[in-house]
Amino acid sequence: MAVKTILQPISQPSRLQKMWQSTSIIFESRVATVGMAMVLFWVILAFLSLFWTPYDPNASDFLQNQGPSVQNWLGTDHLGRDILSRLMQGTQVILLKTRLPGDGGISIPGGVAIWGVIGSLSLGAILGLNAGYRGGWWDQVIMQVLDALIAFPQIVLYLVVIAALGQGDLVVILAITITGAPGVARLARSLAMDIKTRDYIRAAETRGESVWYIMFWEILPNARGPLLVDGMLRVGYAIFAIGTLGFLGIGLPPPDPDWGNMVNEARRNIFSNQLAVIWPALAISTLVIGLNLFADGLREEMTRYQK
Amino acid sequence: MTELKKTPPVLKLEDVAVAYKVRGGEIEAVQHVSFEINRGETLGIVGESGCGKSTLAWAVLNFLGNNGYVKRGSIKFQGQELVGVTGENLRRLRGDQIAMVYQDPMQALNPSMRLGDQMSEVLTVHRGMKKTEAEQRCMEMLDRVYMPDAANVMKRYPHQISGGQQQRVVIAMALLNDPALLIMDEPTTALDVTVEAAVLDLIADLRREFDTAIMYITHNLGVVARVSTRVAVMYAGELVERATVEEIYKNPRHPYTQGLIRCVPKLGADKARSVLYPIRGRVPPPNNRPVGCVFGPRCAFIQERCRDQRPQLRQLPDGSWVRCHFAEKIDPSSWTPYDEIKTPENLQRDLAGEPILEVKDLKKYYEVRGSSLKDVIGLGEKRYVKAVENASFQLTRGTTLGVVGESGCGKSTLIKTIIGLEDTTSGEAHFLGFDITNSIKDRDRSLIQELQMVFQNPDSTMNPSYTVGQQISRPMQHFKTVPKDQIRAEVIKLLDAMRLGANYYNRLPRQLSGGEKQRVGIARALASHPDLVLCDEPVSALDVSVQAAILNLLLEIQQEYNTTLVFIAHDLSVVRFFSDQVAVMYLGQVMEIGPAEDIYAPPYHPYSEALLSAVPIPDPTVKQKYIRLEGSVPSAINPPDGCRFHTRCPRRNLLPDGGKICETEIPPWREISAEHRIFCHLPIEILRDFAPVVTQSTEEI
Repeated sequence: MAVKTILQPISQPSRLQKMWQSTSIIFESRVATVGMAMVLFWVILAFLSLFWTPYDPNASDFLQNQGPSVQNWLGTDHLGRDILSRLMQGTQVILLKTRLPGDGGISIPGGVAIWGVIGSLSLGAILGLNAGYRGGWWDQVIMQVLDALIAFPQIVLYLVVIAALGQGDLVVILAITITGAPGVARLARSLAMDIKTRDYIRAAETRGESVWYIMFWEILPNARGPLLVDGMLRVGYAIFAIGTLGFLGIGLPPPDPDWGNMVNEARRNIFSNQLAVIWPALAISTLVIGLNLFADGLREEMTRYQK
Repeated sequence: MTELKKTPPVLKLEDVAVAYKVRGGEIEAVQHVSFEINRGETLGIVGESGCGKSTLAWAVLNFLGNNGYVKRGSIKFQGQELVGVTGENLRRLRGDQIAMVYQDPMQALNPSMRLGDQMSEVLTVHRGMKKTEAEQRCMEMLDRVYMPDAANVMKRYPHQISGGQQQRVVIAMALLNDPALLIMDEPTTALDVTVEAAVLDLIADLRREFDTAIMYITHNLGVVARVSTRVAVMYAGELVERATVEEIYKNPRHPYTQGLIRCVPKLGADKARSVLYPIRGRVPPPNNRPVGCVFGPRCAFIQERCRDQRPQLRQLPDGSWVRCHFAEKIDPSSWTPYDEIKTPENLQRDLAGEPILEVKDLKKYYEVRGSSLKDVIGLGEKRYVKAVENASFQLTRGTTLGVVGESGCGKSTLIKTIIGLEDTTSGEAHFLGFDITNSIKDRDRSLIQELQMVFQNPDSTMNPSYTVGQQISRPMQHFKTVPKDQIRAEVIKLLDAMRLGANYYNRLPRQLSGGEKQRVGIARALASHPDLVLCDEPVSALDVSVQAAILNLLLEIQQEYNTTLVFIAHDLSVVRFFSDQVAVMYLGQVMEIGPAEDIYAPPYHPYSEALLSAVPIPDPTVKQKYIRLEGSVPSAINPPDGCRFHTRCPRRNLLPDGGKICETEIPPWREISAEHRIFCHLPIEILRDFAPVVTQSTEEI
């Protein structure tokens, strides 16, 4: 009987089933599920803010520094703007849109944090794969340069990049890319060094495949799991970094509200209106913690021995 | 004898079932296992991987992990129930009276502790012995396991001694507390044949000397034949047959046992005169076992009753136990091969045909960097690992060259050099008339296409991210051998030739078994229609029944495409079966080369003779000459002068002056016949006088 079932053609699962299979792993882990719920909350809020916010986030329609009320659920800030509307709008620059320089006000989809992480993942993966797979001098040179970069405090790197290139969404993306790439490269290098010992890499070499083919078609697909999890964690760090830059006043430019900047501005009235500081701080931390939990749970579930 | 009868058996298992809790339920890995082991007895447990052998061993020690437990039955150790024992009692039992030896000695020893310290710890902890006294005992024990220079070994760290010596230390450690039961889980699988032979001798000696009961787990039928007094065969978590070792091999009762024995090539059997018969199908997973007999779906004698009713383990009149409804009625001689096995014909190859690969004086040295300051700045004397030294051979189209030798003898380096993953240090190599001493990066694509490789490890031979179809079609795209629109059809044709079928096209590697992965690996190598395929131990990681199927497949393919093969393996029976020509390598040097049947019969090179006498043969009636090599393979950085084998050669005292000449002068090639050459100082007449290593009670090989 067993033989019969083996001999029968195994029908291919449909695309929907496949997607479910790959996402169901999230729900195996309680940590990842909670994390995902926290992240989803903000993502949904971000999309909602594209069409609707309770009030105009940049209009001073109300009394200044008011506590929560039926009218303004989270209160108002020092210019009399609705904090809830500003928080909602604030998710956009992080997760949903990047404003290109120029007066046209054109933006591209994908927030600053997302593009920053995509940037550091790509740059880091290219460098790390070259260092790990080729070894020798490639490894030496690439890793020495990256180690030197890691030796700088991140905040100094941000300041250098922004001081050199001025304010703007793209500059922040570049800053995140440069500070994130060394970490990604280290991870990609260690993965490449492990994977390159496998026989299928030998098989590709005996076929005379090019170095780039081996790196990006044979090694990278097998390193994507850990790299994606790392990327997820990095989105958290990037949001944090954006918050920090905003707090320092050199982050994302106005007019869109920025969580870090909101904390900074509300700080001056902290003794009369504490909540105006707490709301954006809470927003940053819930999103970052959510991403961290999600990534951690996912990693734990993926590296489990037993499926 | 009456005295013995009164004492309870050392280990007695009754109807044991072991289950693992997994997500969404429970898996019974082992069911209905009963056996007993008495003092001074070795019970060999054999079966393919995934049959529950190791689980059984862990169950005895209650070492099943968090999710495993003994579900039913009782495990009695010297009359005392072991199931449910926990905490301090269990800990005391484990170290004190039951000892276990695992497969990989490097993992059993703590790499950060000196061997003496970790050994004496066993005694100081369990026996409360004083440190000095404990060390004395350890030293004695190391002597008992024939460890040369025991005092010195005590001071070393595990990585400073060889694998065979490590396993001896582990065995010595296991014996320190004079355990009543020794459980050995594949203790020699990771070792070379010559070392394995010595360890197996040791185990047999120790059983006699200490009167220990041994539970010996292995997948190797030859090893079981050598060490066991009784054998239990496991299949799919059940014990299917239990009998004395002679009975199992002479008169196997269960169809599974019979099938296993048919899968293994006998030492001396070759492809022209014998056929391997793999068992069809595969071991069912524990959560999907058939209702009736577990072996039923793969059994050639299956009846209606086998499908509905699970057989019980019962005793036959001759004393052996078997789990089969029809054990008495089955006559193994009436067994006929399945239709799908073609009997290979016309496999005798002409070695004098057109040469496809010619290698002359090929050398491959690796530079090693020292650690002194001089070496770091590049002024130190350059030292080399001489991985391959002066290899010369010719390979005729359509034939197979088998390469054998212990690990570290340069087999893999040889084929890596030929295929161009490594460049050549010096010497000549011509393939189809083209020079191939360069590295693969400098070769022409059409030349690369003609040279492909099959790898050892089925789990890493396929890229886990791509489907079977994508992986086989890649070489076709890369070499543009097949027009784009026909690739799919061509891949399916190849899959059919591998007996896999078109429905494998979209599967991912993790959905395949080890044997299937290996088939895809072979298909990928063949996709560019190469003239020469280099096989680096393609079957050594597979179960015997799968191994037989893969060997048959390779034979068929060779016949169909007239492919030339270089076949590396450490199993001498497999090489004999599979190859037309065999090269024996030692420390990078080819010691003997010739037609397969000549290598396995006198005249032998002394090293080939020693290798042959070490091979475990799955037949307890066979007589084997007793030759054991001393010491371990010397370092390839500083190979011995003269003949590289002289430090371990058991035959050099046949030469005048105790073989002084072997230490200083490089031996000459002795031409036995046009194809058969031996690299030895001993004159041909003496070499011819060697008696055959293996003798059957009736017929000589």
